Amino acid sequence: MTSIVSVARREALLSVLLALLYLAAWAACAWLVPPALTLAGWPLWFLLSCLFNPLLFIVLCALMVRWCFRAVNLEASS
Amino acid sequence: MNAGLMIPLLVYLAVMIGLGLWLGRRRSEGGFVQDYFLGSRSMGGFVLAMTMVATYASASSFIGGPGAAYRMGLGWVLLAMIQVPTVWLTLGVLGKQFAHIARRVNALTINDMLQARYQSPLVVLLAGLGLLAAFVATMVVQFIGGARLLETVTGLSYQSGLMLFAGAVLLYTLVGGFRAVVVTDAVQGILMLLGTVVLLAGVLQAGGGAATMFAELKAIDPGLVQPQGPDGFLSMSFMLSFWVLVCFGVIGLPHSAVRCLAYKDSAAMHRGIIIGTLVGAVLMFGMHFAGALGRVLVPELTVPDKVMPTLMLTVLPPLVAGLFLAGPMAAIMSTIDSQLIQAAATLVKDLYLNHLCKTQPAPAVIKRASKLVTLTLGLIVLWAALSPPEMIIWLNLMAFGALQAIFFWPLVLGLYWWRGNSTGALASMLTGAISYSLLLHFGIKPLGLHAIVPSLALSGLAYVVGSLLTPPPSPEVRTLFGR
Repeated sequence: MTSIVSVARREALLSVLLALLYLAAWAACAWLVPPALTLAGWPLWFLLSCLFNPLLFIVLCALMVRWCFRAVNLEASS
Repeated sequence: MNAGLMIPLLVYLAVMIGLGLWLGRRRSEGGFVQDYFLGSRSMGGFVLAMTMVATYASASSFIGGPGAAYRMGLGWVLLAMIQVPTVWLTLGVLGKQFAHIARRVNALTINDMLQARYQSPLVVLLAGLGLLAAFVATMVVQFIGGARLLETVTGLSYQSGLMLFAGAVLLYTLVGGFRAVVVTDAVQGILMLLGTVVLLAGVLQAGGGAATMFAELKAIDPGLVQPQGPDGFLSMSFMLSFWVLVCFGVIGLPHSAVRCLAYKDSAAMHRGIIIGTLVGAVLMFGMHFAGALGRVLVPELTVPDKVMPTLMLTVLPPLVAGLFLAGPMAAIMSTIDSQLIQAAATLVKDLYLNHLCKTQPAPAVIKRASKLVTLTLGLIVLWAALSPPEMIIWLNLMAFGALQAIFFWPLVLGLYWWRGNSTGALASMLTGAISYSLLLHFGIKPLGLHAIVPSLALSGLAYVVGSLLTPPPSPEVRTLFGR
């Protein structure tokens, strides 16, 4: 009983933290990179914030689920 | 009228209806209500992921979003990428706790969960009314999007496009119930994915590669290739508001949350998070990027909402375009069907069966009533969609915000803060609804933030204060929620 609650709590916290990290990376790529820089014709800020950053976090999300999320029996009453 | 386009579209609609019919026939265990409204909790990981993404990616991401990207350029793509964490957030935060408790109290809808947590008919009533109002608004948006699509592509009038589209959605939802909704969601999710990739490839090829197109965008308006957008429209506080509105706030959307009740086991949830995040990110990026680049290919559009269908017609051969128009079409249909089924569940199950009727009616009566209510709701929405506004994205975001202002804190704090009680929930819902509509109605923007940010702050405060001023919840609730 307490175990499923604490598992759920930990996972909820992890999910929120990862989302906050994503927010930070997203904002940094978009606003800190000078808008004039380009790479192979692509604006650098766009390349970083809209392509590279989401890809990175999809990988991080998969890692989080693989390593940190625990399988539980949802039917268990206690 | 264009036969090369119409045939694949009609075949697609027919297949969806057929699927609904077939799935509606085979149902057995668990009884009608459990099955029609929840599909007997049998979703696997892939279907869960697809139905989350398909429900969430609605007309606003496929018609309205690209339309806005067309006007605002790459800055709007940046804005769209805010939505990447939504699947892992919704499932991660609500997922396990929700599914576990729902099984113990046999909850079928969000309102059942609210009843189990707060044990107050008033909370359920208020939640039901808020849900209905906001769902009718978003469903109107979806119908408009679908009709716009058919209008642009086939040359039918807006009204006949609307009829054709609404007819198909209503038919398979009515016949198949929740299970038809999630299975068609899964099929539609795959089509959305294929459609997005093909369209983006077509746009890039027609425009002579990304680098050339960026240069041309810059020539039209340098703001189109900057994160701030033309005339600095996409300011910092505007962007931050969207972080609340389309990312963190999404946890509080009842039609996403109900999917946390319906999956099979925790492995399904884990797989659902990974697949859902991946598919969602590809869709959001592809559609909005194509919309932004579309400015180069079709620079003279008066109704930005038409950019997606116009692009498909411009860059793809007719037969392929017809097939992949099914992509955005799928996105719209899959949102509307799940909202329709949930609105019906609210009326029939939460308000009528649980609170209004004295004796339980016969199963056949419930069955007929559920379908009748689904149909009536559909017809009301259809009627409201007959005269559409020009850019649907604002209407959609408005309804989105209203749902979040009402549901966010009662759902999230209800799960994770044992001390919350029905007074807190009521105070939070009322404060959220009232402050959101007042701020929106009078156009007040404190610090340039969208109305959702102050409304969520106020409703959160109301929840905490209201709960602390009144006695803690009963011992049964505390044991149920792990305290």
